[in-house]
Parts: sequence; structure tokens; C-alpha cells
Amino acid sequence: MDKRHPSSFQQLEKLGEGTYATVFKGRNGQTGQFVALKEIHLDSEEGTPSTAIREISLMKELKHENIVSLYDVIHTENKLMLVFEYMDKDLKKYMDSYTSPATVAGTSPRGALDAVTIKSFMWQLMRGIAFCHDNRVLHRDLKPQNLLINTQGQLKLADFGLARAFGIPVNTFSNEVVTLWYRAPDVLLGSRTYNTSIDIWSAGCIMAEMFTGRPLFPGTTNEDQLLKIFRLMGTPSERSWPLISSFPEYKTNWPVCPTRELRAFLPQIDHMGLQLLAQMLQMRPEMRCSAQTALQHPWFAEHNARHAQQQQGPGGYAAAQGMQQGTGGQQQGQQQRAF
Amino acid sequence: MPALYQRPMAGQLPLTPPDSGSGYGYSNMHYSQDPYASHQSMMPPLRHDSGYDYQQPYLQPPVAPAPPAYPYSQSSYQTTNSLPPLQNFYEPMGAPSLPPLTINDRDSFTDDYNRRLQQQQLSATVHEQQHPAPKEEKATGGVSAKLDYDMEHMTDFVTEATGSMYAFHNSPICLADIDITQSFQHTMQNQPSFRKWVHQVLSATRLPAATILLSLYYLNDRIEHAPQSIQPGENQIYRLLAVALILGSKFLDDNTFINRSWSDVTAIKVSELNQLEMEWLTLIKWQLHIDPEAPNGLQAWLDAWKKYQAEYVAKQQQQQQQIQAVRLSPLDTSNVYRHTSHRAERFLSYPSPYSAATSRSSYDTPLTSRSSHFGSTNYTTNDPWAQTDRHALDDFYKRQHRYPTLSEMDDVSRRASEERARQAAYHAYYQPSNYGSGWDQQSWNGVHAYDCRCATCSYQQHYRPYPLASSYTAQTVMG
Repeated sequence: MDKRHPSSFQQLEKLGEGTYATVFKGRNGQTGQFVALKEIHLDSEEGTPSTAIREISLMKELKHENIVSLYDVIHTENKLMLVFEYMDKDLKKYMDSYTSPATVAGTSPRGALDAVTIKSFMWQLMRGIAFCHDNRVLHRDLKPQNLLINTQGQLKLADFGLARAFGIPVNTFSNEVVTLWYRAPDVLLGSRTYNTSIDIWSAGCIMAEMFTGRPLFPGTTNEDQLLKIFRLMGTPSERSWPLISSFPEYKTNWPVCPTRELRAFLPQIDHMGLQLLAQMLQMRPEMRCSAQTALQHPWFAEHNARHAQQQQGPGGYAAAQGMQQGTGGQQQGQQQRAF
Repeated sequence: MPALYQRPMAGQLPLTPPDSGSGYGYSNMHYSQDPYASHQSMMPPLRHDSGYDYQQPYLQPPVAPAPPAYPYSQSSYQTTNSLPPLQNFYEPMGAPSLPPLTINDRDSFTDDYNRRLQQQQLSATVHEQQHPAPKEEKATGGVSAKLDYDMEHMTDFVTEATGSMYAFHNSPICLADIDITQSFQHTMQNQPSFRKWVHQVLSATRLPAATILLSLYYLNDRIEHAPQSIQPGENQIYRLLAVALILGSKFLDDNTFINRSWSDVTAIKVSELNQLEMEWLTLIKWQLHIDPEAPNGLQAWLDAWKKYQAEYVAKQQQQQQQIQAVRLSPLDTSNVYRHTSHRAERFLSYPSPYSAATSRSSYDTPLTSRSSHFGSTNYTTNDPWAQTDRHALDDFYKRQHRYPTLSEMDDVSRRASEERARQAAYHAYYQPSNYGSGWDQQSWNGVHAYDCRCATCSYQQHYRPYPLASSYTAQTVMG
């Protein structure tokens, strides 16, 4: 490992603070390149935090254009400094600051993104997730705050502190994973044998949120979260979800809500998009599509075709993304791009 | 062992006489007058398992379904039914007169009990794995409330594996040439203190088996690929194993310990652990996320652990077998026990197509279902049925030490009748076990000369009719 000294980075403004780390913007003194510096305090009682051990060991393996790059790990006396590629903002901030033409026109709520950007972000998100899953990693904390966006319109997965390897036959998983609003119903029901499908649920929630500008299921407690899901997706029963009664958190006194059409509360999404979303927001984990399957959905046909073309010909991914930024605001159906 | 006697099989395999038929209420009678029933826990662990598994049926209401046919007069037993339960007679003298053969030399009473509990848990786990229970377990990640292995057993495995890794490290042999997971036999002599320490660490942390095996993989990987990074000295192996477990746990478990806790458990200074941990991480460039399927990777360790478990059980069974071979003569009651509901069949020494057909009502055809079930599993070696006749027979009759006088049995006559007895045993178990009187069968079977003279038989005859439930409930008191 490159044993550079922390002082080789110029520390700039603070970007964020978590429970176990503080993130600063930094500049590489030699190259002038911006980086994100994640400083992890090393407690003499704790040793190296398991979150750091996971984040580093997993991200070192996950080299993908839709996953934030970990450049370096610098160890000093009482802290670890993780040097990440710099990203401008997270998806949450991006949405908060985004003003689409539709918002200006008053036809779309504040915070909602335009359909073309959403599709691009979703495609990149699913690519990142698929790469994680292909490499036996569950992210387990997908939410807009952990999806970083750069000025080229690239979206990258970040924060693997809760991630976990799943290739190893483990017996128990914690069900205290994923920020509540993006937590899958099976996890809310107490499942400890969940799998990659929990990341797909989160992605579905994020997709809906990008369209509406508001979180899809903003629950306050575990119970409330489940009820909010039931209100839209319908209360599950043994008939709709065999063996649901064997989950630890199963209750017999749930209010019985009918299943509602996604279209009814997400009118902004086109037909194909709703079709994909419905596959991701399945109550039963085994019914949810995989990230790879999602990527094959016709909704992404255009992106896949363009990607295949880029793989062959010259011209970088960023260039294509730049072009796409330029076309933002158009209806995706009208979008015709010549290469 | 637990895998072998796990409950789901009880329905299809004639594991034990009481399990074997619809009329077990009566067939149990042969077993019910077990004066040692209340001392089950003094038996070696292997027997324990089976003893434990037998319990379930015994705990059910003693009103067993009546046999469809009952060729012998009940009236002869009615009188004795009014006598006090057998165990009341025998209990006071049962304990002091307990033959030493049932006492496990190594394990104390409580150890045995704990082991039994653990094996029960393991058995339950295996059960759940094979028939995924929809109910999610309430266990937690790092600190497993419910262990998926036997603690003593895992301690042995870790001790031997670590010991042999370290021995290789200290030897001139190139470790890379040897598959460490296959070569525990060449282990250096395990120091008891090291084993004790391992046991202490594993018991305190209760890591899942996968975590422990991952840690062993890390340790082996380091010893193999970076032997120069290991400080010389006897105590290094403690430090290396401790830090390997820390890394495995922090990487894989959702609930982890801080190094202070590890320090308390391992008696290694926390500052040292911190330093060793960081050294290790730097050395391997934080590459803890490994491909389990890689050659000689984690999967090899998982397989080695499975194999080790299987061998462990087989070894124990072998010991059992040896003990029984010396002390027991299992044939006697097989003949006493032999009885069928069909008069014609009672004179057959070998199962007939007819008997096979009838047996299907309660189990699948036993031999074929068993072989298909176990043919490709790790449990094959544990399967007493797959062993010699001698072994199978012993397994059927492991409860026989209750007849101390049988140990005087003539070995020659035992062997002579062995094959026939085995057939009789199968025959009996695959039939609806209606009660047949022991002496009647002996008269036609004619194998058991001892029967006439031995005290066991006389007391058997004397006490046969006692209500079954009472003698078996004693097990739960102990268990």
C-alpha cells in the first residue's frame, strides 16, 4: 500500500460527519486532484472499527464506475484516513437543489427529478448494485444520502460501513440494517436470512422518491414503517405471502389494506418505468427482481444500447453522461440520440 | 451423531425399538424395566444422543395405540400391573450398582449434560437447515445465542488446526505443498493449556462456526504466504489466533466485540491486540473479502470442518462399539423382542416380501430409503446402519447394559446367532410391534440358551408388565 502521509493532502471544508467518521474535502498536494478524506478515529479500546474493516476490505475489491473509488488508506497513530474519489454531492442534496422545468411550471413537486435524469441514475444505481451482488457484497444501506453524484452526472454507491459479504455461509444477519424508510418488508418483519433482494427494495424506494421528490415510505418506527408500506402495497396475508405468519414481527391485528395500483400514487412514472418499479417493490423478497434482471428491463434499453456502443467505440462514459445532462428535461419517449 | 439421530428421520427409520411400531406401548415393556433409566446421563455422550432422542416418544402419553392383534393373553400381565413402578424398586440400588461400563471416563456429569444440550441444539440446527424452518431465529450475529456447533468439538478442531499450522510453520517443510486442512494427523502435540485457552476464547465469544472457519483461513493464509511476518516464540500462536478471530468476527459478524473485550477473553494486552490487528490488516492490504470457492480457500475449511465432525462421530461410535463388544451381548433381547402380528411370519427368520410390504405402512422401505438418504451425505460414515452387522446390532441394543448379567454371556453363542438375530431385529422393527412373549419366542427360536439361566431374564419376566411411562420420565428428571 502506498504509505503516503496525511499531510500530502490539503484538508478543505468538512463535507459531512457520521458516527464513526468525519469526511472532508481534500486536495492532493502533488496532483491538485480533489479527494474526499474520511477520517476514522481509532479508539484504543475498540481497535479498528468493524465498519472501517468492512468498508475498506469491501471497497478495495469493488472497482466499478458506479461505486466510489477508494484510492488509499493511511494509518496514523490514532486515526485512519480513507482517501476516496471526490463527488460533488449526494442524491439527497442533488434532489433538494434540483429545479426541473416542470417544477418551475408548477406541474412537479419540488425535489422531483426529470424522467431522463431519473432513468440515467436508476441505470447507474442498478449497475452499481449488480456489481456489488456479483462480488458477493450486500450494501444494506442504500438511500439517497449514500448515492453520490458528480458534475458529470455520474452516480456512485458510497458508504459500505454496513455492507456485508454474503458468499460465506453465515447463519445470522442483523435485522438492524438499512435506514428505516428504505428497509424491505422482510427485514422489517424480522428476517435474518435476507439476501440481495433487500438492496433492490431500497432501489425501488429511491426510484419513486426521485419521481416525487418525497420519500415513498417515511415511517417513524418499525411498526409504522410496515403500516405505511401496507397502505400502498396492501396488507400481506398467508395467501399473498405464504409463511408470512412465521416472521418474528408478524402481527394478526394489522389493519387490512387493499393493494393499490402503483400508477394511482405515482402518476408521473411512465408505463414501462412502473412495470420495473413494480418488480422491485415486491413485498415478498423472492419475488423481487435481481439487479441484473432490472438492468435487462426494456426501460433501460436505450442505456444498455448506448453502453454497448461505448464499449466498442471511442468516447468515454463521462462524455455520454455530459450529453445526457444536456438533454435533461426532455421527455424520455421523445429522446432520440444519434451517435 | 445428532445428525444421524435427528428427529425427521425418526419417522422413516426404525432407529429404536420404541420408535419402531404402532404398538410401542407394549413393545416398550421390554425396555421399561430399566433400572438404570434414571442414570442415563452417566452414559457416554454418544449414547446420550440416542437416549435423548428416544425420549420424545416416551414423553408422549403412555396410552399407546393398542396393537391390532394381541395373540397373548393380557390377563397374565394384568396382575403385575398393579405393582408399584419398577423404578421404585430399583432406584435405590440402581445407582450404587451401576456397572462402570456406562460411565464415561472423561466427562463429568454436568459436562455430559451440557454436551447433550449442545448436541440437541446442533441437531435442531441441522434439522432447520435441511427443512428450512420459516420461523426466523432470534439469535444475534457475533454472540450466537444458539451455537451451530458443539463447543468441545470446535475447540478440538481449532486447537488441532492451529497447532498443525504452527507446527508446519516451525518445520522446514514448505507449507504451500501441503493441504493443511487434510493433514491434522501430523499435528504437533497439542498443549493442554493451548486447548484450554481456545476453549475459553470460543466459549466466551460464541462466534458462529463460519466466522471461526474464516479466521482459520486467514491464519493459514498468513502463515502460508507471510511466514516471515511471524515473530518467533511459543506464545505467538495465541496472538495470531486471537487476532485472526478478531478479524474474522469484525469482517463477518454483525455484532462484534471491541478489542478490550477480546483482551479480557484472551488475556492479551489490548494495545498489543490493536497493534497486531493493524499490522495484519496492513500486511494483507485489508483483503479480507475472499472468494470462498478459491482453491484451498474457505470452502476447503468448511469441508474440513464437516469431515472432522463426521470423523469425530465415527470415532466415538467406534469406541462405543468396542466397549459394547466387550461388555455386552446384544442378541438376547433381540430374540425376546422378536414378535410379529402375523403368526405365520413369526416363524420366519428373514424378512419376507410380505413383511416388507407391511413395514411400508409406518416407514419407507427402510434400507433403500436410508441408503438413498445418506448415500451422498457427510453422515454416511456416522450411519451405524452402514457399518458392520455387529455395529448395527449394537446400535439397536445399546440400551442393553441394563442387564448386567448379560455381560457374562458366552461370546461364542452370541456370534453364532448374530446374523439371525440381526434379521430378527429388522424383522421385529419393521413390523407393527405387537407384543409377543419372550419365552415363547425363545422356544421356537432356540438360540438363547442363556435365557433360561440368566437372572436378567427372570427379572425381565417378572417385571415386564410395568407401566412404561414412569421409568422413562426419569430421563427428563435427569435431562
